[in-house]
Amino acid sequence: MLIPCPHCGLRPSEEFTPKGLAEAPRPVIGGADLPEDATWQDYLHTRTNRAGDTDEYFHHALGCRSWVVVHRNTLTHEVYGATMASEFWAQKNQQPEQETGQ
Amino acid sequence: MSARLPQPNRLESGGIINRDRPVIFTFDRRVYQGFEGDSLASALLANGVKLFGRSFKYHRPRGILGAGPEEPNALVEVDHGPAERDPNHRATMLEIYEGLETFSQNHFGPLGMDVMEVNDLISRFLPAGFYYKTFFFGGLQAWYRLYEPIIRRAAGLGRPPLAADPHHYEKIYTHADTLIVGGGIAGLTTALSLAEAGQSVVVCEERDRMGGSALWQGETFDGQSGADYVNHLCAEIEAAGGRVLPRTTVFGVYDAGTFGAVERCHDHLAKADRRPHTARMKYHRIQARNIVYATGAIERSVGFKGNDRPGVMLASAGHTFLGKYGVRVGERATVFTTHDGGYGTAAALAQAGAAVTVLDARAEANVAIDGVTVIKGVYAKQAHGRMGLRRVDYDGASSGSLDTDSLLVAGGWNPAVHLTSHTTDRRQSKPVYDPEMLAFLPPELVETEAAAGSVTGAMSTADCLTSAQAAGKKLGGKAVALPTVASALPVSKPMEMWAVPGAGDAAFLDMQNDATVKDIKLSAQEGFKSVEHMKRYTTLGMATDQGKTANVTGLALLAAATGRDIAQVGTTTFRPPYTPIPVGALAGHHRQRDYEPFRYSPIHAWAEANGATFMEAGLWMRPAYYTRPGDKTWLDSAVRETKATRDSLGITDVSTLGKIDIQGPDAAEFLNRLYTNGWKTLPVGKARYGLMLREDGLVFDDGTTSRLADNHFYMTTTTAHAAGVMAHMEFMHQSAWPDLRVAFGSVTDQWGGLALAGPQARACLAKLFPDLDVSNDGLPFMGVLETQWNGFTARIFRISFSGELAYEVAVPADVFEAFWLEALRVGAEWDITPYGLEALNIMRIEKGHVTGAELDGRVSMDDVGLGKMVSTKKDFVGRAMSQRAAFADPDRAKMVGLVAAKPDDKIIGGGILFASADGPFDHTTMLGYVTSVAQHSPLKDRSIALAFIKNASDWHGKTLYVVSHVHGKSIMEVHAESPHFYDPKNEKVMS
Repeated sequence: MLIPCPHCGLRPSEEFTPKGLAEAPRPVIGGADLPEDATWQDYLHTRTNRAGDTDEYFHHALGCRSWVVVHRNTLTHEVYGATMASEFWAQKNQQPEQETGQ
Repeated sequence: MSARLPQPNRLESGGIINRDRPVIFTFDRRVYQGFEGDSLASALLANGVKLFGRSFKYHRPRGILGAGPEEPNALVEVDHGPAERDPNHRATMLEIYEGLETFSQNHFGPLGMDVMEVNDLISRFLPAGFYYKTFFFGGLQAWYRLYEPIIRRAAGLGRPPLAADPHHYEKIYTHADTLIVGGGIAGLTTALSLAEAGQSVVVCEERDRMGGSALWQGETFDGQSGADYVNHLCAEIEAAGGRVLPRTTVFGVYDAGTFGAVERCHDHLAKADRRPHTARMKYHRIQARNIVYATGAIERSVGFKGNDRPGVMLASAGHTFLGKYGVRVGERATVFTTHDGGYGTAAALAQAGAAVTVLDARAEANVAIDGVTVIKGVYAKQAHGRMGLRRVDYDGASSGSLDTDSLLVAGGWNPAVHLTSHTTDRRQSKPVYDPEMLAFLPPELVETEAAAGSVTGAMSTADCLTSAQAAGKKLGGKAVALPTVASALPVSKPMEMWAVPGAGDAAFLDMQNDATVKDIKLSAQEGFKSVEHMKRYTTLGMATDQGKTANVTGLALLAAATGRDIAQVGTTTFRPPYTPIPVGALAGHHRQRDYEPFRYSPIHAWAEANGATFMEAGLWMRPAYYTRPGDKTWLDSAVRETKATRDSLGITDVSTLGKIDIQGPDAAEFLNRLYTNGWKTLPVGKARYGLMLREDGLVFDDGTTSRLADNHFYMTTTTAHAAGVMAHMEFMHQSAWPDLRVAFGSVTDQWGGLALAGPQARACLAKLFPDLDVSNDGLPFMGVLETQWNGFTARIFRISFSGELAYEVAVPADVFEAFWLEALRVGAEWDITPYGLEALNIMRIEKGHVTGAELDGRVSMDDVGLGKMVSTKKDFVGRAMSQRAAFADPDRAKMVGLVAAKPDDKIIGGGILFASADGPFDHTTMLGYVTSVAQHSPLKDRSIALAFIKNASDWHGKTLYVVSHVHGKSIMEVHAESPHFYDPKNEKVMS
């Protein structure tokens, strides 16, 4: 598998360490902070584990040390692209607005 | 040059071997001579050797079946040393060299008289599934004691080497626009088309030279011989910037245009010619946009009784030995064919002087060759000759018997479609059965794939060339002029005959696994009708050859036995590797310490020279203790070092601690969110102990972080978690808080660190830094000073892990050894004593400080007595989950100290705690467990330990019992108390 690191370009997956699905952002400071809260449960435990299109955290540990979110299909192994983790959630939050604006 | 020895089956001329270079080699300790360019198979056949090995299950004598990578029978061991011996080489692929030593495999006693051949006599009792059925009797005990050891000894292919692989392997990345798998005439033609269009191409050919069947079929190309035309193509490809790699097997196709290939660099060279430190094999990780499957086709046999007798081989094999190596496999040859292709082999053998008879399964066959007898409408019914073929019975339109010394079977061709189904990232489709061609063909390929040559089902050389032209065009190649092929061999579609009428017993399909026609029928009869079930029940298609000559025939027979079409039955899934590859080639340099190298402190050499015994801490080698005269055991050393530190002055190396430099306007805020405690109020010039949680609320790591300037912090982590903490910080910063203006990097290797500990630590420090005020006021507990030592930056931290008055001093790693030696020189006045991890362990247990043994990923802040280190005014990693109700459960085990009741008892690490010495000692009565042990605490003059126990503080002052179930359930009495045995009020560290 090759991962298109936004910083380094196309690199072999051996340079990366996977962490898991990026399905929920970390709850914000000042928000819910009780263990029972659904936002925390979702962030920590809820994973759809679906077969198909997924967003996953990978750490470019043997490269630029960026955390990236890799967009790929677990059925076909096709890699669509990767986003810097630092930009991923901001972009994701904007998307619904763009859709309603159309 | 050595004298020529007779090679009875070698023709006077022909072949592309180098007759000027005779090569001496051995097989089973007998000396033979061949020529440079010979395979072991061709050289031994030239010498009249027919018997190459014994079969897997029945130990039947076996010869050569094929001439290439598909060979199931002739597996040999190369070399004999316990490390060098290398089993399961296919004699057909092994190139001979001067001094090569080879040995036959899989026999008990000499190859000619294997005692296990009795298995063959009782073979009717050893059908498929025999082991499953028979060894059920007597139960598991009988299996382990009786059956399994016998089967282990009798089964298996070859002997594995017993010592580490002495060879040297390399891994390289190879990039290309297009990878062409297969360097036959079709692959080369496609490659030339692409290379001339400007693409970078790599052609991988698994055999010793490019050219495939063009090297032996005897056809000519624009008047040139096959070998000459192949050389011409290779030269053109290389001139256009392409690469051709012989002896390179593409073993796997992976996602995203990644391919695995192994190039054999050494195995064909005489040992004297193998340059030291060069690779035996190179593992190419090939990255290519396009792939061309030019993998050719593998001939298949037909099931009839005795079709495994030495002397029965594939027609293409006999033809290859003749055309490529100048070896005539028999004087009275019989060709059994189901299509016109067999006549090409018959003609070539007749031309080489053999008396040839063709048994053609087709009644209406219409090929005539001068001097060759053809019997139409018949099939080979049985082959005779245990140690070498003598006679063939035929039946059908007529019946009879032929005296013969070689039987060449042309049962049709199976395109080598394996690689087309290795991965699903391009398409989901598998090879498809073509009932017209009687073969599985590649599925419909996507735009980045093409197939060329006989893998497409093309039969004649001209058709192969046309398919190559089409493949080149599909992938953007230039049109290349195709040569005129002369002396073309006859070809036709085969007649459908997978096994001859009545075949069953001893009609072998998979020679390597001794799976017969009868086994397939039995499998279907017993309900194993899926091709995957049949494979596992009969073992057809398993082992080193993966059924290259057997699979298609096996599933055709399964289809017949279950009344289905072959397309309905389908194939099993082909998976990498295509042919076996040494694990060493995949590992390359990533083995042993090159895979996980040691890390050494800057004073490692000093420690080694001064009696240190090292222990591994992650990748680091750290001194465990320093042996001095008078120390009888490691414990003597550790106790001596502890006492010296407690009484006067000790010094230890702390360079291995993780160190992270953190800078930026939001650095304090960042730390606030990483640690449970607050950091914004930490003054410049002060250090603070910090505790990190995981997001699930459990303790992750601890360490001390210092504020060097408003926006500049210096963090230390445990040695073990340094890399994990760094990755964690990067993850939190980038995924959760990208707006924080902070940057950080690991500086573990940049700084060396030592700790001075003991009552004289301040005096020693003052002497090292005479201009500095290191008094209790000038540098109070948790104070930090940045200063200079001999012109280099030095950072002094007044922190203590040992529980003594202590300082850690960090200087740049380059000068650390000099600084260490200076500290020893200055400290000599107080008898400064270097101490290792064992002494440090005793001291930190006496002090009740936790390490990885306690912070094992299961404990909360409260469990280790650090619950008060929480700032409730802020968010931090793990804050939400640290409030989980379970963490407040009073029954949770918390940390406690233990002291052995008897002075000579040594508490056992990992032991389980119970309230009563009477038992039972099980989970119903278990109270807790021991985490860290000091075998001898000078403070208590006996063994002490840290442990976790329910209702910890209730047990202070009470008696408990430590039981270790892995040490014979020894029961040891201990007394519980606070884990802070030593200086609980911190008077010494503050003094």
